[in-house]
Amino acid sequence: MSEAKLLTLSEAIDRFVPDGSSIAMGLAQETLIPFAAGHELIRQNKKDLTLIGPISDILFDQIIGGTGVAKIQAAWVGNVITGSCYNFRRTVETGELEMEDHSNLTLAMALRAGAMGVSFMPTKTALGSDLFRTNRSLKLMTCPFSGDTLTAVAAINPDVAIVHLQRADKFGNAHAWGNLGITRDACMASKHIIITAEEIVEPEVILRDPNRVITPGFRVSAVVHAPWGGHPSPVPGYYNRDHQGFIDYRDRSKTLDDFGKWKKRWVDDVHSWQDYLNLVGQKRMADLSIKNHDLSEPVDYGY
Amino acid sequence: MSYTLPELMVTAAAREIVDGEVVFVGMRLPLLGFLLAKSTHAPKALGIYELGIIRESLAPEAI
Repeated sequence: MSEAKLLTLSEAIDRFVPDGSSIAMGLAQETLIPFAAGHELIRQNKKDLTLIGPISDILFDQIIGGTGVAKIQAAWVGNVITGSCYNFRRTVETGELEMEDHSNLTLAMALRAGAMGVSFMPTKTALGSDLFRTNRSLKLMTCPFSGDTLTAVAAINPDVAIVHLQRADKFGNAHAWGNLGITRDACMASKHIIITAEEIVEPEVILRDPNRVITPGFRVSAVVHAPWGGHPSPVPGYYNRDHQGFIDYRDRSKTLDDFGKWKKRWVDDVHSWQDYLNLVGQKRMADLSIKNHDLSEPVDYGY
Repeated sequence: MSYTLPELMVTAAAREIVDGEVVFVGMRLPLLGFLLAKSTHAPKALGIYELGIIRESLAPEAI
């Protein structure tokens, strides 16, 4: 019988993300970014982290500014609609943050190799690019069959993948929908998986649509009920992107002082998802909530 | 006629797109280049966006 893994956000991060962890987050690019979990990393003052994700919008910048990040393995770090991010720039410029510069696809291939348990993935991407000059996890290789030159991308096996999604049961079985990016490979490549879910549902709900299950439940370490845990990023079926939230963050992270005030308001003084929602406010939540519901045709798994 | 540098880049990018082509569309200025091409000389171009979406038609609203 599977064990129940429902924990609070605080317990899940405390138990499964020690200092020095490498963490895969924000694997679907602009959607389903695990902001609630990211803020808990800051709240627990985690040190010496490695963050892994192709484009995690402002989340990586918040974690860099808020707690101890030693290294980033990513394709792009910034604020998608406004440009570069200030904490990221500050720490790269001083040299305190190590940046392993990938493309979306080299990072995807690294996690695919990790998911498959092999040490590298052959690919054509990055050939002829400058990525080889700074990224030591990319090597040129010769195909043993065709003799062609290929890129070998070293595998990445994160200590933990943190995934925000729509619904999960307490045993770790979860449904995700929308554009999922490299979430599946990242989960399979990681030693631990923490799921934060908008809703916790009965196991039967998950069982009735097996194709929608994001990763084998038995591999999940913790399930956390985290309503609006993806805000300000969009969660398909629940709420839209909070564009103003991203624009506001640009203004509130320009200087270390600005960022300190942001951190106090949005992380330090927030002790529950209810606190967070009080900050967002009922009006903004109503504006962001989905109004044009778009249900798909049910499928029949009967036999 | 005066134009800004971003407008020049968007127009130059749009002119690279041939009608009916499959195009990898990057974020922000490249996106505008694709939209310009689709709205003018390349209505049948197909866009593949890095977050995993393939579009034949433009989004109903801009941000």
